[in-house]
Amino acid sequence: MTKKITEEQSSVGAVVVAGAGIAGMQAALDLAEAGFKVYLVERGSLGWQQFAKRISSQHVLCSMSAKLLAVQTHNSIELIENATVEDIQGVPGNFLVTVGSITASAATGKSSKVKKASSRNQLEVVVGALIFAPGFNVLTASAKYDFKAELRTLTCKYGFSIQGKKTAQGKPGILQTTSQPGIFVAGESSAAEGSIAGSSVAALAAEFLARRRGSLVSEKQYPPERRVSGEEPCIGVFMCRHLLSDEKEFSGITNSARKLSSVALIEELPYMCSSEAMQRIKSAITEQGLNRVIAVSCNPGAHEALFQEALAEAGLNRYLLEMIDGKSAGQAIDAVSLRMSAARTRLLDPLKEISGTVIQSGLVIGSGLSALSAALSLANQGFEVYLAEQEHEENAAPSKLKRTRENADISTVKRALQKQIAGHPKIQVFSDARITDFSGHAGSYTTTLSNNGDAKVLKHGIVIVESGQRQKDLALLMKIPVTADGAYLRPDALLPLDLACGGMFCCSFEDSAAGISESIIQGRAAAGRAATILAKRELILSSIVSVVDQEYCVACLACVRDCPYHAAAIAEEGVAFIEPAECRGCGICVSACPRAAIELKHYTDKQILAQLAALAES
Amino acid sequence: MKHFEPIVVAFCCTFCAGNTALGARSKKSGHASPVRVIKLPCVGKIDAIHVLKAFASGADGVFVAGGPFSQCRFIEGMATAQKKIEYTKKLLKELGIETERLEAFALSQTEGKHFIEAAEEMVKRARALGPSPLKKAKKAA
Repeated sequence: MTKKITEEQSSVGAVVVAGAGIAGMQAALDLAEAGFKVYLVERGSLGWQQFAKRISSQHVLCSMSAKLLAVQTHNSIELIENATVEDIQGVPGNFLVTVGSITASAATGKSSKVKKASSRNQLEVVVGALIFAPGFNVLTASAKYDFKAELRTLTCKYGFSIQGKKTAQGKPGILQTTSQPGIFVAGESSAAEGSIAGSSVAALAAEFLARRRGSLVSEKQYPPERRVSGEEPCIGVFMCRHLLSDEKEFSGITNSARKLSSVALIEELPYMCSSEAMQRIKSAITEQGLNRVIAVSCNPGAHEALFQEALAEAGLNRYLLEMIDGKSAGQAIDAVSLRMSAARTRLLDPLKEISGTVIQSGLVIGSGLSALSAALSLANQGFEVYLAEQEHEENAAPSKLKRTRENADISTVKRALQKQIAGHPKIQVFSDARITDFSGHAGSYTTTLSNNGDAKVLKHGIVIVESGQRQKDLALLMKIPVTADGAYLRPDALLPLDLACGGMFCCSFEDSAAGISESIIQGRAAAGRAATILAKRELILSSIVSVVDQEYCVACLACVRDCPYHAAAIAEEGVAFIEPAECRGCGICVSACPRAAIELKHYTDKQILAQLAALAES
Repeated sequence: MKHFEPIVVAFCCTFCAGNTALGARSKKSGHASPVRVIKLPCVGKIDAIHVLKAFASGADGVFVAGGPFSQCRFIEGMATAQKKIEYTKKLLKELGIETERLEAFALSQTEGKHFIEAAEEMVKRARALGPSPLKKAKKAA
């Protein structure tokens, strides 16, 4: 710090993240989703072309590209490329940060060199906290990349020192705080660890600025939605080049697609999950007057939201999108599958948005270091926390930790955490608790705990589970998908703490023999991920819900009886009504209804039958 | 007689359908005839009409792939699907379509290879039975 202003100033709900590696991007995304304005300063420039040069694994590349797109399109992230942090003034909570642009040659050259201020472009931003995320950067990474050297340069330059060296055992900055409050450091050495480091350091910054959450962000504005109900279907098909073996395959598909009556456009794009592709889709929608889109890409689970966003930005309803999974087993992208998809797409209807209130508290299950760390971080970020310490967990967790290198310190660190938790006004601890019932969805869960014979019902928006003991029982009770060997399934390689159900996270995984710092960081990172949901007052829910045609309903109670979520009831009018916010969109009621009076939106019988009928056409 | 390549239609729940991709990623399956996948949010939505339409459109085999009963994301989805499939089998019998052409599989959610195994089983059955009687009837008409 060159100068310290001592007078008290109110803190600012914005953060500078320096370095757009995996940790930097994840930190920026988590903070932005948790209600903070983010300036992401990157020495190089970002784009899938750069990624493609560096990354050989197609799978990782696709995930990275999607992450980059999320960064580029986020409303609360300002991406400042070819620039570095040059000066920091002010006090913790209210820093004045000077960001200067650098020339392309300097960007790729020696990064450690302190550059002299000259006539170059400079930008001043006021933020509450700073995160330095050097390290494994896909743009500049090389096998011999010296993480420690870069950190040393940083600390010399800005006059702070990295704390926690003693326990971190040669991994500087692993605990992520510095001698300067409000300045944090994310260390990373691999892609998966990078995103954990990013989420964890984001949680630290969010704890530091908890009171200023949401003060500087504004809601994203969309153009008014175009009315498509009167229009003839006009479909655009966009395919990811990486799913096609060659030009010949594409032209074969194109020729057959041209014969389909409603398909107005078919294009292949280099990367379906790049900002360039999104731009193309958006402009095609406006220029060609498309009113339905078929996207052929990999991993629809992760990519669907991105394409929906592109549609919304171009003024189309999000549900006018059909995804074809180009990598599905046994499912080829060919003339027939495209024809079947087009038949369904023609009949897609725009759907009304449904939102649900988020219960701004979290349930943390476990009693190990990472669970304690997760609970504490969530509480410090301003959320109510229920900490359920599982029965007999004590016997298992420490024995695992005893094998690790920081053996002697564990009980000390754990006691310190427990002390902080015991005194924390936002944390309620349930020791020896057994979970007897669990239901709900992201933003609104209900859990029944049995605590020494007493039943306690808790309402919460998210769940963080520590892996380990009773995992099998928990997975069954909470319907958490697991892999063949019983580990929790974590579908996104770059979000290693996110479980396969929305709003559920794990905070340590059994395949890593976690030491003290790793456990603490994993717990905090889970809290960082959880905050992206808890920070929102409302969560947009799926519009794929069942709707009763009250004209046809004869109140036979079949749907009331069969709905697994008890969302169907007989309304005042004497006919069935399904509450949209309670409906989870399984469609069981549709098959139960003897009068065919119920329709599941987006999967109507008409759409399914049209898709099947298209199998026959030739 | 020319080589018979059966057409198989699969109704998958979103969780299963997503995981078929996981399987494909981990090991490339040499699949001769592609399975026509119809995605449903939950297999509990399946109705006899969907299965019959699939056969009417030329399917030689139809299967439903949902999660294991105890772990169904929609609690009763797989159990509901099972009941519907049993009922539909009776309809098929009355129509003179072999009931072996229809099956419900409760698959491990995270193992794409199980989906491939189910698909291969249905292809095998259809091969053994030959083209669907509906197809033959259509040709004769």
